Amino acid sequence: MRSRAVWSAVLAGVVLALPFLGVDDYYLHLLIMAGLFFLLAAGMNLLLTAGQLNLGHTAFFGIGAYASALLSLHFSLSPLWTLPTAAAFTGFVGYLLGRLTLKLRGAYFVLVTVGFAEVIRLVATNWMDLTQGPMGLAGVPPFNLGTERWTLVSKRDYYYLMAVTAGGTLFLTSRLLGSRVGRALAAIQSNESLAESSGISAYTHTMLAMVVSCTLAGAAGGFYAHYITFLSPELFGFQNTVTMAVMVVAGGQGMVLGPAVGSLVFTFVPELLRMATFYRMLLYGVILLLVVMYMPRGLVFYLKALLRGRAGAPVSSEDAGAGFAPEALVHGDSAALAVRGVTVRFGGLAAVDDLSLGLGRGEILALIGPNGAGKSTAFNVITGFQAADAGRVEFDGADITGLPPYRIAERGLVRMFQRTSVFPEAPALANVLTACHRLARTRLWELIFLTHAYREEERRHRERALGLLHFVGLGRKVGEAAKNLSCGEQRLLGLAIALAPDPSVLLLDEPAAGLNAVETGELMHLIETIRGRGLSVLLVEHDMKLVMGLCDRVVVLNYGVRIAEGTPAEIQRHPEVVRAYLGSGEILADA
Amino acid sequence: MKISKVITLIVLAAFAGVLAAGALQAQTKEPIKVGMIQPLSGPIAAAGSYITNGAKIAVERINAKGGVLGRPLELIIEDNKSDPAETRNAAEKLIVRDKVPVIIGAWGSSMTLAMMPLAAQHGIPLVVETSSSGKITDPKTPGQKVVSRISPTSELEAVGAGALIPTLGMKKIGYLAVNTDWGRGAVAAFGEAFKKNGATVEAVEYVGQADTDFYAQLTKFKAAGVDSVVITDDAPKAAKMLQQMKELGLNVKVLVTGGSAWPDSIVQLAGAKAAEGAMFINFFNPYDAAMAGDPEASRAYVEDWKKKGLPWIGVVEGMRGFDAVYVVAKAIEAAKEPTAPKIMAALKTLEARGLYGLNKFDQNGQSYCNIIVTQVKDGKYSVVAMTPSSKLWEMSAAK
Amino acid sequence: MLAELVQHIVNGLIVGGGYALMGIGLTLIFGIMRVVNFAHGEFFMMGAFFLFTLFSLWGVNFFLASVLSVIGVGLVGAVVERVILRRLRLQPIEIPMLATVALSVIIQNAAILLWDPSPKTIRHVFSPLPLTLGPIHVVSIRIFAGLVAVALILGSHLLIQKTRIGRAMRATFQDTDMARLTGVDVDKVYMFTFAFGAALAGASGALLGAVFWVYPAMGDLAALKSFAVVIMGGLGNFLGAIVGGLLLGVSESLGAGYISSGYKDAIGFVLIILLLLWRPQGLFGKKVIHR
Repeated sequence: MRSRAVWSAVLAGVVLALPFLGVDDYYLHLLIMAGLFFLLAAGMNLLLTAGQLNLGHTAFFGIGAYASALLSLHFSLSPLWTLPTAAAFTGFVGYLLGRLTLKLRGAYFVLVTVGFAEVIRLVATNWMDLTQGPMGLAGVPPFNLGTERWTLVSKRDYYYLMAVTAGGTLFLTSRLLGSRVGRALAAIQSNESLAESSGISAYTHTMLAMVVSCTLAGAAGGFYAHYITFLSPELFGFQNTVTMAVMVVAGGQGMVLGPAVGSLVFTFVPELLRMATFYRMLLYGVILLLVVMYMPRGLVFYLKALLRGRAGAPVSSEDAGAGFAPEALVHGDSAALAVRGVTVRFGGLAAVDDLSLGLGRGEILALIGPNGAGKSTAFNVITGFQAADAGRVEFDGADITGLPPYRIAERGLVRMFQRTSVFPEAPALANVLTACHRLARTRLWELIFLTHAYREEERRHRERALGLLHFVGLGRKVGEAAKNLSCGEQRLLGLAIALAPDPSVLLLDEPAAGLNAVETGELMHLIETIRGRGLSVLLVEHDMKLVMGLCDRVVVLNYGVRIAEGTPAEIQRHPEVVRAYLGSGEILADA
Repeated sequence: MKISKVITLIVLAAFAGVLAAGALQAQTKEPIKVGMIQPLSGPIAAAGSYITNGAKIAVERINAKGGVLGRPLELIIEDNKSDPAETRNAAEKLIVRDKVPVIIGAWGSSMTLAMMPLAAQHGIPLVVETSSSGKITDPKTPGQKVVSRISPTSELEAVGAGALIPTLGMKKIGYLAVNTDWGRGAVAAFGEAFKKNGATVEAVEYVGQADTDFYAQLTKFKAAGVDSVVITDDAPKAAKMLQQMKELGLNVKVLVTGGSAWPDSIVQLAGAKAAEGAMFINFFNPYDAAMAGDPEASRAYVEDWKKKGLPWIGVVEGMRGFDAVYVVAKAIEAAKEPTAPKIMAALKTLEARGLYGLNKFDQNGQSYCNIIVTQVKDGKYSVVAMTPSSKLWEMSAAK
Repeated sequence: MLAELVQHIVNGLIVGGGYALMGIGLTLIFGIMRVVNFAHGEFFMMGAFFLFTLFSLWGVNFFLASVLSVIGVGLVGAVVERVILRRLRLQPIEIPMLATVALSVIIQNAAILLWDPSPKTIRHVFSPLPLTLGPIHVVSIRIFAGLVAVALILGSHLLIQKTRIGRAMRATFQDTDMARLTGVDVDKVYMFTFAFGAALAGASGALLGAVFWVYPAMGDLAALKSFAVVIMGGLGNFLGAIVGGLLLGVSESLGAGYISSGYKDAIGFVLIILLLLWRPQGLFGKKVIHR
């Protein structure tokens, strides 16, 4: 922490002193342009952290530029007011586009943003009355600090204005990325279902990233308008977006410094390549290709690795003291879960047919049945991943049918997934810390300004995460990337993740799948402890030893219909159940 | 991974190498530097390359005769990638790093407009060789005071060709213009001229710079029953439009404005059959040196162009670069000093015979050039009529 | 009035055929390889330039030159897949996307250096005079282009449905891992898919280059249009690409003819945005559950 503050101070000092160190106007201009691209790349990077690539970003740049220019031209307002207004307006446009498109994923989102930018470009080119079209908007007033007397004239003035703006952006993005917002965004990209189950609303967070990103782009556009004082529809060209995307990816996506390094490098490289005028663009493309092929994590990532002498992020295996009772982290409010008459049809087939079951407070209930009996579907309905065609789900008396997964998680009903139960790239500690999201009480502004309350909260959550890792037995692996853990360890991590949001009801989807006898035994012990702390548990399982040894009651499904319910001993002897399992290879263990 | 470390080091070393090369190149020598900004990449790169080549021919001629003020001229050419923001970057570099006292450029009107405020801020004179937007010489436009433009505006074209319109027999006109400052300005200017001469513009359709298919617009014209089509666009697009007119059975009179399209280029691009009868507004006749303001220079220019094996269709574009360099050279001679303020003053009072005609600048920095109406007759170049630049100067003095 | 309408539609269908070819290639590449190919426009351009070089510069027979051009672009596609895309297969989706962006910059600028940036006409063998069907005029080269497009589309359909490699492609499209397990050489499928997609784009470029003209930046707009086509039809959907391509061609023609030609290029994208609001998976795409 200390060294980072020192480095920041040194860097800030250098940046501020540059105009006096003999750097001429041309380089200052390049630095200003690099700063503009940094604002754009930083915004793009924020959204990319959540896995959404916005290749229409230049449209927002242009919207901000034209908005600020037109406001100051037509209403004779000072750019000091029009620039922030334009930025806010652009953020709003981003919100509107987000509403329309953020439900799309992956390539669809990318292509729609490309289309959006094209449409805006054509509007700007053809709506002559508003934008002067291809003739361009000349005579945009230069930036001033409120009145014409305070007009910024020299290159140095604009350089400092940009330095302040860029510094602010760097601060904002580093705060966002380094906080639970950043963790949430990364989680959404990494494993969206798991993020939702932990109480993270993918839509809300990506929308936040989108609005911030577009506001930054609008601010950059406004700056450009009052610096260059001439606008034309070429601003909306795809070339700009390509440049930004290159800066983000080559700089290092998901990293705070990535866009900064990317924007500096890829503003100066084309300028330096002016020497080779006729080969310049070709060379630029080749460099880009090499970077993408051999350094896909970005320059910052590999530079950091070079400096540290190892590849990959630093891993500190903290063995936090066990001086606190990990069990204290787990306590249930003993809620009940009721499923009433739920039916789900896929085409003509009923995957779940009029299913009703009840989970009592502090109970461990198993849902078993042959493959294809509808157990996963039932789980999906309960946790909000699947809409039911009929029936209701009630949690603690309240109707939660049809709520989105993150809302259900917020109420205290958390699910552990069957296979994809972790965030693979992140270390174990980060995995669990991310899942503490639901517990956060501090607001966004506190997060940005690093208030005492926020820092306390982060500390508490961190301790909670460490404690939970100890609880499940992963105390030695807190710094290990989740994908490097063994299958059994990943399962334990998944359990810790599920416990992080402090649930009252836990849904476990085949927790023992792939575990050997020893691991299964450990798992059973953990679940029993969890129940002992007051949580109710509903699990789907095929491992009969676990079911018979652990559960209070069992519900049996076959072809979507409940065919039996009772204690493990009763179920074992139930003729319907035996018939359902005959021939499927399942063996009912002796109780 | 090891290989990525290697790549990182190579990339960093490449930067260092290029930086060093740049440092070496930046040593100032004897020559007088003249900056030039043209689109050398992007959709209009062809035009940019013609103009640059014309400029180079002029520089070689001048240096062969001993240069300017006893020193050779050096053209520093920057590519604006057909983009206004890049134009400003290029201008910034030329002014601050290369310290040029004068800049020729930047082809497209929006590109030129983008660098005008910067040039004015530094007091660097701009010689505009192609841009046609009236804004560039409008006193209300920021930066106008440093502009000296040798290319005509669309208004001037329209005035110069105006008297000829009744003789062309155009009554119901369909207008196809490229959707840029140039196209829109021409539509406005020529629209006026047509109205004054009793013709009506039935339909105006704008096409994108990269468009290749004009069937929709031409079908519309056909349905509207036009008897002539006016085109403001570059040669390849105009050629395509002519071809497609024939393909759709729209066999009407055609007039192409702007100076870039001319009989030889259209015959080559569209074929003699499609081009037959089409008329063009040009500013330069490569076949008749006497038409130019400086016949000897015109002859020499065309010879050099042929000798270098440059594409013949570009010869009427290249002359813009040629003339611009000569205007700059003569201004420097008159200024006796290759500094920006002196050159600017010299340009204001300069009178130089060139390929455009008589190059001199009115109070807004605008020059008046020859307006020549040409036509494809029997598959060959022919002149219909001409309004010499001297006449246009007279007309403006009379106003 | 009717004549005008029909003429617009005929115009639009022929250009739409070219769009459809581009769209098929792009949608196959995405559907099977999960790669958004931003260099698709450059394959389009290469097809045109190869034809120009072979036919206009070297005097090879027009039809032979066309075939060779298409094959040539396919070979380039195969090389690109093998050398560049293969090693990026496991990376998140934006990495191969940006690799294709870089590729498009390289190819376009290489074209500017190899042939100069001025537009070139391909003086094809067909008569420039139109064939008339009453008031409707169509020129022979466009009929040729339309017929070839139809032939290629049918051929692609047959290839995918009836041949072994087509079956392998379909298997890989549905479930890559399963395909691998059942003995499909997924590497070969990927390479073939990319080469095939590139070849179709090259064919579209050669055809449209002969109808219009040839210049290095010609792929830019074509690429954007093919993205529009693919979104409309649903990413990975063969039929959707065909319908989308034709639809785009006709709506552009009608839009330019009756509304405004300035916004012609926007029509495609506005359609997409409206369509995606109504059906997020495209006209024919499969609905995927997203939360």
